Amino acid sequence: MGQSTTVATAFTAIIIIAGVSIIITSTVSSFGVISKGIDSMVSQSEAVLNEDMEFVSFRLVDSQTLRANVTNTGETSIRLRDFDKMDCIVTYTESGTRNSTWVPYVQAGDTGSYWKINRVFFNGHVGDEVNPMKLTAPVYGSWDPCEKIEVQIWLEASNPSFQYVTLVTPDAVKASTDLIMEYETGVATVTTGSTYVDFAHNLGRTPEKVQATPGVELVGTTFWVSNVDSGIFRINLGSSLGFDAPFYWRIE
Amino acid sequence: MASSIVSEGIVLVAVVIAAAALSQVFLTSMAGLEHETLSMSDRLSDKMQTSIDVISAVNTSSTTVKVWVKNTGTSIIPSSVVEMSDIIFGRIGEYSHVQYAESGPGWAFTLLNSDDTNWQDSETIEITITTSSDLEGRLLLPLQHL
Repeated sequence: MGQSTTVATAFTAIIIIAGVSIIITSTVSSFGVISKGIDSMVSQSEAVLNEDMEFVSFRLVDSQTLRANVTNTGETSIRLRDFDKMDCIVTYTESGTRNSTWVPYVQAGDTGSYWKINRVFFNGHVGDEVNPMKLTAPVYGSWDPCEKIEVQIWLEASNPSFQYVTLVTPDAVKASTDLIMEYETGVATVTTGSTYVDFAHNLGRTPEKVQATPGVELVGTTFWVSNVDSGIFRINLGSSLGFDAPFYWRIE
Repeated sequence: MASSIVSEGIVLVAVVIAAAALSQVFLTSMAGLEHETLSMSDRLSDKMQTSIDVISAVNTSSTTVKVWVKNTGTSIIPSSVVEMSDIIFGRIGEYSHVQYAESGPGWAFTLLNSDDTNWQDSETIEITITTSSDLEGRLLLPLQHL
């Protein structure tokens, strides 16, 4: 075997080694890139699987302000600094026209339409223990599992009527409520000398059922309900009394 | 003897030239293969990291629909790329491709909770689809794809 054969063999070996190393390098690199994508998908899926929230209750403070209690029913915490990545979409009617708008999270709550956190509750008490929230600047803390936040939504609109609210977490987990009260309860008092009391309710529709129970003995007179509509109902007395007559009521 | 050495030398030079040429072709092919592999895995990774979700959609008038879409992936999507998105929209059975149009019939978008012109993870865009004819009956959400 001459030198030429040796050189040719050496060259061939070098070429094969170089080729194989290029293939290995590119394969490892592509695996690295793909695994990054898989990591991203997995963390997104985990967030979606473990994140959840639920509207508990709501009340209208005035025509432009709605307060709703929302509980973190998932297993993840949402940092307060990520709340600006949450979405709040409100559907309302204004002068008979139906509108939907995306409302920004503004904890300072001083410009245009906004939503913010008013308070946080844990175990029925105001305040939270884990990653406690500080709601004034500089804000910090987290909305942790089982904690309930009171969200305030303010709309820059003329006498809006709230219809529907959707809240979306940074990972696109949604909760929504139709803002329809199933029932309402309270106490209305027919004052001394009066024969009726009008009570403004917040059902937003004409109640199908109205129940009223006197809180005192109605000596020598009767009572009934009238003028039921989407805004008020009236409790009447057959004749006026010499004392205040409270009535416990429930409408649905 | 001398002629044998000369012959051997000539063959040696020929082999070296042939091997060099072969190695050039081979290594160039390998480099191309590496580039294609990396490029393909990059595109695959991009697809895996790109994800969007339609979070809500409402018709605000008889010819306008608002759709809120959230970037649920980790890709940063420039506004200029969002404009190249395809939106297929319409009544059931009558879907059609809607053109991007900043005004008039078509679709336009606004970045909502973003500090810049990029659509980043967890940020939302508001898409307004305007049609030239009244939308009646049931609407279909856009079949989104980037």
